[in-house]
Amino acid sequence: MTDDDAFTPEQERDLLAAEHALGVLDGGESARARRLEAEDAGFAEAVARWRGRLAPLAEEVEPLEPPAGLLAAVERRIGETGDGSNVVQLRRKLAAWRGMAGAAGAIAAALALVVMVRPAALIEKPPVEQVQERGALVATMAGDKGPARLVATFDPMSRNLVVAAAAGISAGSKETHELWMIPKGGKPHSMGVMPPDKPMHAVLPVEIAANFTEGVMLAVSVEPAGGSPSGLPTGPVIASGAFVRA
Amino acid sequence: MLARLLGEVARGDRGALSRLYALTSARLFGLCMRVLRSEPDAEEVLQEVYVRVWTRAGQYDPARAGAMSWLAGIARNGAIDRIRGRKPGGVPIDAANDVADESPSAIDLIEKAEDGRRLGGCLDELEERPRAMIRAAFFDGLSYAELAERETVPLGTMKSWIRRGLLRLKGCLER
Repeated sequence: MTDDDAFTPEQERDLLAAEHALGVLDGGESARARRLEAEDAGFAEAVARWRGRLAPLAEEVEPLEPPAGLLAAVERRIGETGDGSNVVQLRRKLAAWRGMAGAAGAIAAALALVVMVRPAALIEKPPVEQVQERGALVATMAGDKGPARLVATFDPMSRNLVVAAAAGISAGSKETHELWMIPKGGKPHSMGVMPPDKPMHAVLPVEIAANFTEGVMLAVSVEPAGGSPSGLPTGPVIASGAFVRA
Repeated sequence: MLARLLGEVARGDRGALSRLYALTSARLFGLCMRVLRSEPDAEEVLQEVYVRVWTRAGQYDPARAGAMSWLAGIARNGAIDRIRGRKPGGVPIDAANDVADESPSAIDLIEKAEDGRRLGGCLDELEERPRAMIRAAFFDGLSYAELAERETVPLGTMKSWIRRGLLRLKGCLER
């Protein structure tokens, strides 16, 4: 920024929200904006307002008829499950499990569900750069000492990652749980701060999804509100586990 | 109309998905082509967009955004993710949106998207450079650093153009 741009702190904050919504930030600034968005309702609102302000830009472009047959390809990819989508069903199940005591049953159901949704997800050959291995992956994360237990499922086809806490995970008001992916022989990568009272769901970008293969570790650490300030785990790891094929 | 179709899609109605496709696919394909400038890529992203619409239609909230804006947001994110997937260290825009989805406190507070014609009018009031750069960031998924490199101006200059443009845009939209 040049010296003659003097903005008030409020303007700076709103500009950060705008830049985040527009997608021009990179590196540390982008990470900071995402963290603020996750932890600060006022900032999240500002980002959402900016997304709303900019959204009509997308409608400027000239409509262009897609090739015939594309809808049929979409319908094949959706699969033949008929009513509702796999992910929607999975979410509903996860929502229903919240507060349910039978954690083991939930884990078993999660495994069964993933196995069930696989054939439909595999009908269409996925784009080559999108996945290396196509089967769904499951990681059961447990702690050495504490009672923490989480189940993560990842579908390489749709790049959907769902992490549900089965037991023993609660953070103090000034703490959060952060999920990490640790590639074989590599450093931990943050997958984000976990929502405190519901399963975490994310559609992973292609380049991150490419790392998700059998044997890759997931771990959950306790971090200050907003997530690790350093980009690496700073607090105790309460649970960890490796992905296996479902 | 589109909002009602999205509701039916959320309940698993395939007929509704095909009606929604008939009404919106040309707009979304145009957008994917504008961002990706490659027909095979745009076709593949468009497929992913409708698969995603099928799985996420339940998350659409008419109080938050117009249906077309919501659909266009998914298409833009999908297309920009594809561009960034080819670049190491690119920031996944989709992950950023997922963070917003997880923030329940924000959901009730958000107003409807402002009218597109007003945005167009306000963009027209900006100087040429900021206007072009905001469009380039939006459609090409370029960061400050990439925009500065492309335009061969210092990073600070690029930031200044875009930030002033954004502030002026906001001022105009709130008039």
